Amino acid sequence: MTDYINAIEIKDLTKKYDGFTLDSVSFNVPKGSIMGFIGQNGAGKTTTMRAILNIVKKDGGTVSMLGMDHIENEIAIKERIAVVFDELPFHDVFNADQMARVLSGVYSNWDNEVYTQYLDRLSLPRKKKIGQFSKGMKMKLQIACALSHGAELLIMDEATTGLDPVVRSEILDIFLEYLQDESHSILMSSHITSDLEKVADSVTFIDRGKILISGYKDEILEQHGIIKCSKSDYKEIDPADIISARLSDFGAEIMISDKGSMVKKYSGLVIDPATLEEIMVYYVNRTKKEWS
Amino acid sequence: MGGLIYRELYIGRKFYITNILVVLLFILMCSLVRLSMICGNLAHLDKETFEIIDPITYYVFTYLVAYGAFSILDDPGVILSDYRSNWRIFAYSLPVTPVKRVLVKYIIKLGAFCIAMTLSIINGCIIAAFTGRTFGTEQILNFFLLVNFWLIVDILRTPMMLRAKSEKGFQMSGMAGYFIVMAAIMFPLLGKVTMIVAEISIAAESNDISDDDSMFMLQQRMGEFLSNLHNKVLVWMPLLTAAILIVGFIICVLVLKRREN
Repeated sequence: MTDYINAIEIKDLTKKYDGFTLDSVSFNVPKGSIMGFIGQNGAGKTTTMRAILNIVKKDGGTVSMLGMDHIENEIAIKERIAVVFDELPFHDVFNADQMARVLSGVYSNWDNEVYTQYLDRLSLPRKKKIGQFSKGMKMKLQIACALSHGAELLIMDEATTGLDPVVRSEILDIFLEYLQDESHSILMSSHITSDLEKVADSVTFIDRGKILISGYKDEILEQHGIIKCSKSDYKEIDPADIISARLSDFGAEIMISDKGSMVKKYSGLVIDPATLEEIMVYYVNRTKKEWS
Repeated sequence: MGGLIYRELYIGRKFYITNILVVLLFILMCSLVRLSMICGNLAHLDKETFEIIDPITYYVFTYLVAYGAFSILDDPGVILSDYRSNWRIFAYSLPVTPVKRVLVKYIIKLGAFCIAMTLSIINGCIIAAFTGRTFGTEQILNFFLLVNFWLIVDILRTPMMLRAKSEKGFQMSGMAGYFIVMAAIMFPLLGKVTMIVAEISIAAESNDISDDDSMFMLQQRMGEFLSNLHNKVLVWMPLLTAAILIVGFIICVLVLKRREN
């Protein structure tokens, strides 16, 4: 088994479509961590995931997973990873037991005992047809399947979208347990930033095919802040320090990316902590600079 | 790979079971009709009527049932189900090579072929016994003609269906296979038939031959043509089947190896 530092290494990944380009995307998912991959709808999260998995043909760049090239060692890699999509890709006619039979014939490390334990833990019926499952149950089944063959890397594309908070919380707890093993890693794309704030170690933010931020979540949250001030105070702020500003009749809310130095530079102003969601919203509006 | 075979068989189970049951039903019906011609309601037909019906029922019952049996090689709806459920995308995340994915489909086809051939042979033996004829190599080679019809339809449309990007495209791919094969068979045949008819018409006009004699000549010429064609085709049937399978396999693997653009 190859040794590796980063579960996923992406360098200058490029993919061109009409009207959209994934432009030199680069980031790493360190081994033993959860990387949250955030962006608004249409930002390029799914395209990036599919290019990593070689579902779409990339136009340029290199991708390695578990220390191996993602195309040259495709089958060996896929034996050791699991992918969870936003919609359950299993036929409605099967039940949970039958899916085990299918997947045990695909993965050489399939562990039926682990699978059964997850089914029991997630209260999933074994004989009921998948077509009769609720959305939450379908996602839980997909996750149970993903965690039942000793995968070292989970790649999840919008896996918690559309789920209620209770189910999401249950699933996030399972992910945290999964990461107790330091050889396990997760790449999780989502636009539900509150989930990622709970579990992610690092975050990569993509917008319109470009990576805007990538780094440890706590550092990103530490570095960013929101200055809330009057419009007259807003005019005193150096535009170079502003990511973007939301203006209203009551004043201005300004996103800054270097809180440490801004605290000293604008000592008279209050800088509030920013959430990942706020960071995302302000960065998406960065080209406008001022918005409302 | 066993899991994938189980998966495809389970998804297509209604199609396979329905086909087999319908064929068994037809075998029973045809057997009863022939039995009736021996010791039932149809046993009292006059000689002339019997001589017309006997060969017709023999050929129709033998080959129509075989045609129905080999329709088990038709698409059981798995590829469309895969498209609808997004399994098609998910399959790329599995540790399964395109060769294995296509091999799964071919193993199932081989099984279906064995079942269809068995049912056709059983039916052929029963009908031959009831009609006092022998069942042997010639009939089995004729069955290969029917097999190849379905196989050619399959290798034409399966790659298109695997790549279809919409349900409409998928359905059109399914039909395209039939139309292409039917056109490839019918156009040359019709062309040849038209030529024969034209030759006889010209000969009849120039030599002042009666209509009855012209019809007789037409029947003879058509019979010779079809018989020669049949004999030539039969020799190559098993080789053609193998060639179609290999080419179809390679095309499907190449289609699955291509990634979405």
